[in-house]
Amino acid sequence: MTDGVEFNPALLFTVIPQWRTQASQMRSAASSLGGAPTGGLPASAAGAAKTFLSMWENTTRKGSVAADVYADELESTGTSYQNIDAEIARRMDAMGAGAR
Amino acid sequence: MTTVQIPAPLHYPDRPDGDPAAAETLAGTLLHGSAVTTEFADVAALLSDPGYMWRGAASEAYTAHSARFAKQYEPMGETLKRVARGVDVFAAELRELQSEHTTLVGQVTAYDRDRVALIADVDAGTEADVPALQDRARRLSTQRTGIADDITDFQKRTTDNEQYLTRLFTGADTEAEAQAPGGGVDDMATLAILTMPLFKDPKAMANWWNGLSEAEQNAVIAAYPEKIGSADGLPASARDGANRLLLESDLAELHQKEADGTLTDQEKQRLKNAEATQKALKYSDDYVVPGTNDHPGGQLWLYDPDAFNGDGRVAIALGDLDTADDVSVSVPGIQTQMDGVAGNMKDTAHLYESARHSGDGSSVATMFWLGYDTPAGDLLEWGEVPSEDRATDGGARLADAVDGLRASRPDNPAHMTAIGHSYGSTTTSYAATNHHLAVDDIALIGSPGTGPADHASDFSVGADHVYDGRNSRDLVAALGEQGWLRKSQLLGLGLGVDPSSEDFGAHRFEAESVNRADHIRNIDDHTRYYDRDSESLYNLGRIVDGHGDDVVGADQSYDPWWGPPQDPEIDRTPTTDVPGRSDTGFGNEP
Repeated sequence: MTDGVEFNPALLFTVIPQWRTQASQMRSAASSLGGAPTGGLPASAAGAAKTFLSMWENTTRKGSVAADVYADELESTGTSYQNIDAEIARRMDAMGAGAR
Repeated sequence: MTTVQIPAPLHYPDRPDGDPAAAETLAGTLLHGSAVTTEFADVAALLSDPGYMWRGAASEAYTAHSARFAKQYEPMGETLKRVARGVDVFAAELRELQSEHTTLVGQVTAYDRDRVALIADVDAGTEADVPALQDRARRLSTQRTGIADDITDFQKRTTDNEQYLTRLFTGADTEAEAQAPGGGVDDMATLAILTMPLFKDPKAMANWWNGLSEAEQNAVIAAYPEKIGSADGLPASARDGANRLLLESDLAELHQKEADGTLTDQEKQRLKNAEATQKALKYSDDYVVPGTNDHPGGQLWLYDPDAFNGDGRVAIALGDLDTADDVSVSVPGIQTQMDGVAGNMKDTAHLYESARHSGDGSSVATMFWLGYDTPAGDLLEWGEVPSEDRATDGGARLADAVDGLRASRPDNPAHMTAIGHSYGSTTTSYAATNHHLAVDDIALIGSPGTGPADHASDFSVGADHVYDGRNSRDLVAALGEQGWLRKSQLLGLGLGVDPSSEDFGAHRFEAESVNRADHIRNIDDHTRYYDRDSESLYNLGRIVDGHGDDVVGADQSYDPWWGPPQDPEIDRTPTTDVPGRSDTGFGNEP
């Protein structure tokens, strides 16, 4: 249990863009790692290098996906809070109209 | 029947596979990936805590999940960075091996040519020729043994290097390995670092290093550059390799943070220091003595950008500190900080030029050493006269640095000179008086005082090896004590005796500048000691070259009972570009 709910919509303008930036940078890093040429390495190390780069590409890509998911979730959470707020306000307004 | 034993032919060794430049490019990609990953983990940790902006069950769930996620990524940037450094070290070794391959191929070709010639001479020879032919065959056989041993060693190092690279990749190619603390450290490095001496005695450090195989040394440099880069007693080449790795990764990480706008004030200063070092190092790496093919190359001997609350410590050399016959260490004075190091490398280059131009053909390395915390105040502003505290501490550090250089080449000692400029001369004086500075010669220029030393004979090198250059218009050099007026009469104020004075007893050399002011002491004349084709630079070059007895002497200053201190140099006409007096070889820079 918590002591109730607080949500400042400013969160949407601070945290979400930062997650998006991180997602974008990790996506770009994933592409760089995945596309890094191994042709200049000795043949004996080329296979190991490819496995290594592939793992790092996947891991950084996972990071970018997760960052996007956090941003999406925060966005939808914020939207939900605001929708509920608006819905309740609408109902109150409607109740007020009936009372007249 | 007499026989001549012809030694067997030699096979050419295989050229080491791979392209060093391509490997360096890959290292750069990995380093960038590491910087992005590190920044990602840092930012994710911050973003996982929305603080007062969001409270409730949903917020708690978000925090728990994202904080755990950030934690997973935390060690990954470091792991990737270690692998990147390892690939860089691999590339450097590969470059060296490929160069050695070329040399070996040349040796095998020459051997085969001599062998074919011997066979032909044996075929055409008579019995009378046999002793000479047998002698040639024996020499050829000895030569063959030497080359074959070199090839065996070369092939082993090539294999070691390739296996090292493979281990780097396989040791960090699963998520678990990437997320493990200490990920990306080669086992060979882990074992080697365990044997590193606990107490950093330079001689013990040198022994430890020399007991490691080349493969172990390379692995340690890549995995623990922060331990190797400033370890006194280790070869300059090892320190240089480690410090370049540190510099490179600092630049990658800090530029990433700069792009994200997440640099702290401390990191901003660190970035300034790193960028200044990069610029100074590039200047040193690219520097060619004008009008010659002399390309001494640079060495980053010390890189510590966070030292002294961000003032930093750095030392960069021109030339090879491991092999040069003559090595100089230039100690700067007040207001010198790491973020201004690029401006000091020209002086270091001018000194190199002078030592080589007037020298005896010996090899030279000149190092700018900012290894202590210089005072930030202004010597000439009332109330900001610095105390000797920094010089006291700096003197101990300078002596340690020189001990480190000495210990790194016990079998091939260099002729070493320490040159202290301005407050750096006070620091040098402390090192020479209280810490047995292990150089051969000491030169003080623009000195405001010699700290604890009342006489040149107080210095570790003995009075005959102490030199002083003082421009008669130099305002700072006029701060030194002359005659009877000493610190003891000034409540401890001042930085000590003027080393140009007859009381001090050093060899004063000519150091006037043709650009000096007319009879007015000023600060500009405090900064002309390394000017090209100046008297001072010529004499410094002679001292660095080990020929201090050839300096062009100047009359010492003195303090007569009937008036203020007198400087006989004040009325002498300065010279420039005069051979044997002020010609340092390469004209004035545009």
